[in-house]
Amino acid sequence: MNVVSVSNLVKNFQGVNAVDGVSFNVTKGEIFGLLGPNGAGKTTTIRMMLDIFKPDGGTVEILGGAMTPEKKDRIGYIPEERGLYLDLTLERCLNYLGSLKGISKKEVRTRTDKWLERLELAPHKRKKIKELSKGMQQKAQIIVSILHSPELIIVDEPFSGLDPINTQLVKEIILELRSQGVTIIMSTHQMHQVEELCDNIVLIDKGRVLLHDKLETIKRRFAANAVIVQPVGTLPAIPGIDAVTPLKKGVKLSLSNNTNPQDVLKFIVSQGISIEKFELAFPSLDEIYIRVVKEGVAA
Amino acid sequence: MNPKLLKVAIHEFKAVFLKKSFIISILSLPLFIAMMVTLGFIKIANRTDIRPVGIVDKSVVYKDLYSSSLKEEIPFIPFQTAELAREALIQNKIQAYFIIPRIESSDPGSPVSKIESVSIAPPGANVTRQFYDYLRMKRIAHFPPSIIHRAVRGSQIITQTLDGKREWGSDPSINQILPVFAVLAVIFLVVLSSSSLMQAVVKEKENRTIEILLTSLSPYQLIAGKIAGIIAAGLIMCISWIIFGAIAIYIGGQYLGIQWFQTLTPDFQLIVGIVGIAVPNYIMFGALMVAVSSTVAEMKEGASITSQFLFIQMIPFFFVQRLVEDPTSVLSVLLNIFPPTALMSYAFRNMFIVVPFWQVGISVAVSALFAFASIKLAAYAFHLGVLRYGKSFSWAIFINAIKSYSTGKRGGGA
Repeated sequence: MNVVSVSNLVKNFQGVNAVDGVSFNVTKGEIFGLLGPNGAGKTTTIRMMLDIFKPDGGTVEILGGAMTPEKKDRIGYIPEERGLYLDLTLERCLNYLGSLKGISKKEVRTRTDKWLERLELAPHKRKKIKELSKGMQQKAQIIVSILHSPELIIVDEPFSGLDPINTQLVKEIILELRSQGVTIIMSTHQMHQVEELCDNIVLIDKGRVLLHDKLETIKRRFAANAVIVQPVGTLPAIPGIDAVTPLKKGVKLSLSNNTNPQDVLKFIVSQGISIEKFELAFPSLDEIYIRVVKEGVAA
Repeated sequence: MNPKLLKVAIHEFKAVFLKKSFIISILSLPLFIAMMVTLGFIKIANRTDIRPVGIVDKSVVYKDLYSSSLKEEIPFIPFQTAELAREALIQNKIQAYFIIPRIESSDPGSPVSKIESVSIAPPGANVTRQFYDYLRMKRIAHFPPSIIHRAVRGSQIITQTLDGKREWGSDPSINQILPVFAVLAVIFLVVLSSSSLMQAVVKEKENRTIEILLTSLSPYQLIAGKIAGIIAAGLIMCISWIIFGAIAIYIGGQYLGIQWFQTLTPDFQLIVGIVGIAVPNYIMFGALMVAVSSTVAEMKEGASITSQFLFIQMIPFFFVQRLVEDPTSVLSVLLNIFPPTALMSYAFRNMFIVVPFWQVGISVAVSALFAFASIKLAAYAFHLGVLRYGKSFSWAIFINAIKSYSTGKRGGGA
């Protein structure tokens, strides 16, 4: 079931198409990566999904149809730039923004207290937002987006300003929400986080979709015919290998066209060579991103 | 009321109400009036001198004057000669003395000329007036007391309209000046609220909360809520002023014996008319200010534009002669119905005529309609401002936006 369905979305700003025919679907309970370089049209796409901008063309279906005022209460959003009342106390700010999502005053307070505890912000709840660190503000922003138990969360750079411990904490929350059936659309430049969390991605640049598929499928598509081997000792010469590239740990073996990874593994085993690691050499998402965006490699 | 709109309104109301500046604003007007009244009293008190005044009467006409039982605050002391009076003046027993020259006729109505006053320092402003009142009374002492008192009161001109429903005497009636107070109150309120109104959207821009809010609220809910909260705070301020005024009138009437305060009987229909025009007027100007602040990048830019709205309210001043000369003319009625000029025109007209009920009714209805339309416009301007974030205000773009809004094309370029 599609929670979000974007079809041929177009937005024109003063003669320039910031978004030019973008289409993708997001299914229930998945973590979806919306990727692209700065100015690619990600934020404009998000704004059209959230009904902040009206598209010049195409359609957005969200939670089973066009956006309605009621649906806004079922969606959480974390914008790229923090949006909190700097002069209000943390508690009052969260209570106010939470109450705008259609939950009762009492319930907002209960949930605010729960999340403040969970994200280790409870001791700071009487402080003004402007007195909090950037990381604390980011955690407060995350609370705003999940306080009303949304079915869909759209997050723009969720890990911005977080230290590794808090990054881990937020990742745990994201995975926990997914396990509860919440759909998450994540826009970020941190590719390793995308690799770790996302099921499907769409990569857009200059308003157009460059890649859209399951993450694993994309990685396979971009994988070179190579394996990474980490032997206990040294490797002898292996037939069907075009090039050997030393790595920090082990080597990368580039295979000739008529050799496959199974042939290499069979040969190593037959030679009785001890190895600690043998894996297909998938490119990282960073590498794919650079190849697609910078080098213009067709998907 | 829409629950989310109400939540925004309460939040905005608290943001204004809990500020120290709000208390200062509430107290500012009554304190200003109290200060002016006190200064006036001090000025009058300084010009009033109740020390005795000497009179050297060389005539025979006023010889009984000084033994009269008339109650006045300045004691008059007769002196036989100017020398004796001068001596008393030097000894500071009197503040001044008057010399009435000798006249030959025994007729009290005979003209008296060249009354000389002598003092070291200028006497109190009340001295000369009181002295001549005495003379006047004595000169007509042979008339009945009622005529004497009427003569002493001096001339009193009362202008009455042909229908007899409005008249102008020495003191205006409360029903004539109430709309004038309403005009001043709205101007005061708009000026005092302008900072909150201008910051209503600018604050959200600074805090970057606009996008967060728009994922929970419609532009109308957000803007109407903000306007409602700020206007409610303004109206509480106005009600506080009315309470202060009522207390002042009560004290003035009951304890200070000010007769005008004791006889105030405001017309209920007039009050309904004033409230019916003034409140939508305030909402309309507030909404227009929010509309402007939504579309500007800087507060300074917005402040200069909002002053243009206040200027519109002053338009009736340019037609004041017409309004006064013919308050029933078509122009006067139209100015009374057109919301930005309605309140001031109503105030001017009401001084000279009783404005017909149907005209007040139409004015109230049109004002309410304009207020609602202004809120809608402000909501759209806000939406437009989100799309045009960071760019300068332009009336041309603003008007084009209104046109495109009215034709149903929304969500223009950034």
